[in-house]
Amino acid sequence: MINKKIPLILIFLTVTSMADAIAESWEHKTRGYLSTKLSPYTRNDSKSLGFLARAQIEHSISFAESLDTVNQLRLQSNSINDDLSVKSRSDEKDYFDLYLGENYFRSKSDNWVFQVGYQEVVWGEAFGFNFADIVNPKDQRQTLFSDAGENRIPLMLINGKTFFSIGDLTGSAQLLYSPEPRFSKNLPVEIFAGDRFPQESLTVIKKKTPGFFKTHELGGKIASSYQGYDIALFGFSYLDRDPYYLLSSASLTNITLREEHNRVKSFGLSFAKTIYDFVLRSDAVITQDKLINYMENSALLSYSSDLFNALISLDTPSYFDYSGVFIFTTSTLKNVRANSFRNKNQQYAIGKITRSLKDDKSLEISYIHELELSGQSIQTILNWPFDGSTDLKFGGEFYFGNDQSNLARLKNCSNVFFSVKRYF
Amino acid sequence: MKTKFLFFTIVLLLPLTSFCEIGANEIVKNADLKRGLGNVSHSFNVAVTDQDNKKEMFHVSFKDVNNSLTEQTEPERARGRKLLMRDYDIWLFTPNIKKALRISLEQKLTGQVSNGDIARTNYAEDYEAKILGTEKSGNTDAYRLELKAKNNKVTYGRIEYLVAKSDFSPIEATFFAISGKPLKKASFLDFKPIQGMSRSTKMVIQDYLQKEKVSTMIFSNHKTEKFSESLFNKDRLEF
Repeated sequence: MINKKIPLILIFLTVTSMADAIAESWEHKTRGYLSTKLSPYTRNDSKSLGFLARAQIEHSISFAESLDTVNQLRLQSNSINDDLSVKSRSDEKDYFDLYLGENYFRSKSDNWVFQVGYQEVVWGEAFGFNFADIVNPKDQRQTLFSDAGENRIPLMLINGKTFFSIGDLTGSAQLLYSPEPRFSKNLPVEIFAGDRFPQESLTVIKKKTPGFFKTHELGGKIASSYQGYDIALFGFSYLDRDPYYLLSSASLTNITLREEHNRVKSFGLSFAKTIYDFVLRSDAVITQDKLINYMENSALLSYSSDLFNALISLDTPSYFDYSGVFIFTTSTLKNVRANSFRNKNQQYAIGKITRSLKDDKSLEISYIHELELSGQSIQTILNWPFDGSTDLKFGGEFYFGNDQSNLARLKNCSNVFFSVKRYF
Repeated sequence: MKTKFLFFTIVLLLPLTSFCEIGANEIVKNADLKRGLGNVSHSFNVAVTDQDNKKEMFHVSFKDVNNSLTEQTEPERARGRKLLMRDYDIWLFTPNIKKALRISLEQKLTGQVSNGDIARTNYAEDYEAKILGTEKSGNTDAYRLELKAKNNKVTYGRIEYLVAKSDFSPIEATFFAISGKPLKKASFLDFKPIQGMSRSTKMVIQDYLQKEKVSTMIFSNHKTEKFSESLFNKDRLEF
């Protein structure tokens, strides 16, 4: 795996060193981070210790006030896929990924910005559960409380944005085009498929990313702020980031599934408003033609349905060093078949209380309740900024409740953890 | 006769009362000019140090009282954080979240410093002033003013403000929440000539109850500068 990635490193180093040599007058910045997380599992009988390591190096060059480039190289090693696999799998192993992160050129003027290259584009007003964050695929081989900002997979995009102002109203219009769709990386399928496959071992054939210009993705967003309201409308036509599965082969002991991704269209609305010192946020997204797997007479099939996701959240101001966020989310399939891989409704109520402590330390306690199936999760974190460049975190995350719930399915990755992140 | 006397006394005092009220707001306007360049498009740097000597650096682009952009430059973990203020709306951009999120003015930026302490500092715009009296502050004759929030969108509900009589230099301020609870106390120090006027370059903010919690803000590098309108568009923060 490492050998295959060496050309990427060489390209990265060559481009940056060439840039250094060609023009010393250009403004260069190099920054990045190294982080590691050790998480002893509290309920996993077969595995005792989870491990996650991440690193990112970013080199940016400003050629002129209106032209710059960003080049990132990322590394990630994670044991969670192996740790959570229930069945014997050919791909069961800790993974080690070395890949180019965001790499793009940017040109800008007072009224517009134009970027070409691998980028991350984030839509929506909410954080945590972010239904409107539909553009980039995600690396979802994480626990529920991982840093969403580090899980996005950059997408090749031509990204143009223009800004406008009419009296008190300010806004922007954005157009995106991607010639190369990419897909999310997911936790083992059997976690969510439950005991539908009786075979002891399971193999998943991943769908390869289509080549350049083989298929196209197109979308846009219009956003505006007026008298205390932020409102955005957006749409995107793309290959579903999550797969549906086709049966490739099956025997008494092994089943092989093949991932496919069909084209879906998402349309949505985001909204935020300050009310006194509270902030109200909401995202709502309809995704058309999503394919969902189901089982019928032992056959693995799929059906098409529209999916409606919505979220409403309220951030509270600080009272005696305490602040809170309360979120309600709902996700509903328009049609659902018997023995479907997901329920018609999934609703979550989430509360998070943060207590500010001395020296910029803080203590966070989060609780998630899965309403329909009674799954629950609790997380606590002590954030400890050690110095200007080092963050320490101590905590635990625990999943429990009804075994059929989405949260309880993650119970094997309940853990206590220690992480350190060093910026440079 | 007594009634006529009372009537004429009130008539004579009325203009004086209104003079005092105008005077109070004028005092605050003048004191604002001693804490910044006023409503002039300019930029400056702010260094915030807490009681444990932890330092954070910010660069502020100030277009006018209703448009300012604060970008954090230190420490490394927070580099690239941006705070945009338009009227009473405020958004925070952090590089890892990669989008501008609406937040409230009251939220703390760092230590004892609220977002509004950097991004919205012209008290004359946001508060209605009244003179409570005059007093000595050290050797300086000073006005004691009460500033009441003109609306509930501002950072503080009320401020008690001590301003030098001689040149309207701000001396001290006590900030209260809308509920009336005292929050923190600030001293304005280190007056230096900037753009033709003596202005405070240091503000020390102390928590009202936990006195050991102190943040010191040092203002430097004030420059008049023109900015494009789109710099203060929340959708531009990510670029």
